[in-house]
Amino acid sequence: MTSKQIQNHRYLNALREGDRVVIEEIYRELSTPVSNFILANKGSREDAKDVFQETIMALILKLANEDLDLSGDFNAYFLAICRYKWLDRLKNRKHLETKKSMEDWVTKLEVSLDLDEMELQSLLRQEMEYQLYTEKLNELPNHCKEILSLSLKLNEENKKSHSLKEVAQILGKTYPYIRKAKSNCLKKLKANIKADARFHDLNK
Amino acid sequence: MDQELDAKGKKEFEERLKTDQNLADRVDFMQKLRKNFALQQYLNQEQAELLPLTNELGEQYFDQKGLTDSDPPTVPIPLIPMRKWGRISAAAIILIIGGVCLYWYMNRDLYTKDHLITEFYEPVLRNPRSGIKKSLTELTQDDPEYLQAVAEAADQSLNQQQFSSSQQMLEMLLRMDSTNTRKSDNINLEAAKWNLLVLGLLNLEPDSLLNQLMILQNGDASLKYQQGAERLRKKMKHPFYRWAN
Repeated sequence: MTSKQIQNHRYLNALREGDRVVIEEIYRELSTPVSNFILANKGSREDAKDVFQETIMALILKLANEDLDLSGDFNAYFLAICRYKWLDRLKNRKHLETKKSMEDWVTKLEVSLDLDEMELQSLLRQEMEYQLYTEKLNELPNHCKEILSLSLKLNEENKKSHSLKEVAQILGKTYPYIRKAKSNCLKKLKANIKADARFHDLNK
Repeated sequence: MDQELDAKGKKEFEERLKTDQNLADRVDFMQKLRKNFALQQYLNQEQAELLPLTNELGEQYFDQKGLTDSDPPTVPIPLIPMRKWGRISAAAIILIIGGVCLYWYMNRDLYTKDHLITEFYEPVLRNPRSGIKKSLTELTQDDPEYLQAVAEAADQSLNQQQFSSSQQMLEMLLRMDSTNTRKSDNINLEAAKWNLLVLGLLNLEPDSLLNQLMILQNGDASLKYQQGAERLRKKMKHPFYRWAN
C-alpha cells in the first residue's frame, strides 16, 4: 500500500465510522481550499459550509452502498466533488438570476472542471438516484409512505421485508386493501420518478 | 416478486426477464427503490450521529475564523485547475518538440554535403552543345576538343553524383589549362575553380574550407562567386549542417 492509499483508507474509514479526530483533520485540511474556491466563485462562507457538509454526506452514502476504491488523492477527489456541487448550485441559481453574467460564469466554471473521473461520476450518479427516489417517496401521501416503508423495511428478526399480510396486520387493514393500495402507490411513485428531469439524466 | 422462488422458478423468471421488457423495468425499479430506501434508513441513522459533529466542525472552520464573506481568499483558486494547466503545458511542449523535429526532418536533406555540392555547382562548359563529336576516351590530349571533353565529363559526373570523378576531371582541366595552350572560350575556368572548392566539402577540413571561402568572398572573384561563398559559409555554419552530416 502506498502512503496515498493508506491516507485514503484512513479518511474513508473515518467517514464510515464517524471518527471525530480524523473527520476534524479533513475539515482542517480542506475547509480553506473549499471556501477559497467558493468565495472566488460568487459564493459565501455559508455556501462553503453547506457544500462541504453535503460532500461529506455524499461520501458516506457512497461508502454505505459500495466500497470506494480511490486510486488518486482523497483531497483532490473531495475538492472535485465540492467544485461539482458548487457548479450545480450555480446552475440552479441561474433560474433565479436573469443576469447573463451568471450564465457566462457557470459556463466558464464548467469548462474548468475536470469531470472525467469515473469514480466521481459514479458517486454523483448514485447520489442523484438516491435523492430522486427518496424525495419522491417522501412526497407520497402518508398512507402510501406508511405501506411502502413497512413493505420495504427489513424485519429485524429474519432480515426480510414484511409480507403484505404482515403489513395489513400492522396497519389493521385487510389484505386485499393493502395489496391494491400498495400497487397504486408504487404506480404513482414510478410515474412521479419518471416525470422528473433527473430520471432522464440518469438514463442517458 | 415478494414470494420466494425455487431454483426452477428462478430460472424461468430470469428467462422471462430477458424477453419481457416491462417485467425487467419493474424489477429494476423495485431493486432501486429497495436499495435507496435501505440507504435512507442507514443515512438517517448516520446523520443522527454525524450531523451534530459536522455542524460543530462547520461552525468552527467556516464561521469562527474571524473572516467575513468580503475577505479575499488567501490563495487565489485558478478557474482552470493546475492539473489542467499541467496538461496544457505538456501538450504545448510536445507540439513544439514535434514541430522542431518535423522542421528538422524536412530540412536536414537540404544541408547534406551531396545536396550542397549539387546546389552550388556551376556548369564548367558554357555551351554543352558546342560540337564535341567524340567522347573523352576516344580523344587524345593533342586533340583540340580534348579540354572541352574533360570539362563536359566533369559536368556529367557531377550530374550523376559521381563527385570524386568530377573532382578528378576538374583538377585535370585546371592542370592542363595552366600550360595555357588549349584555352577555349567554351570553358568557364572560374566555375571550375569554384566547383573544386565546393567539392572540397567532401575531403577538406571544415575550417580550411571556411577559410578558403572567406578568402574568395573578400577577394577579387566575380560577384556571383563572392555571394556563393558567403551563402555556402552560412550553410556550413548552420546547426542543420552538423546534424545532417
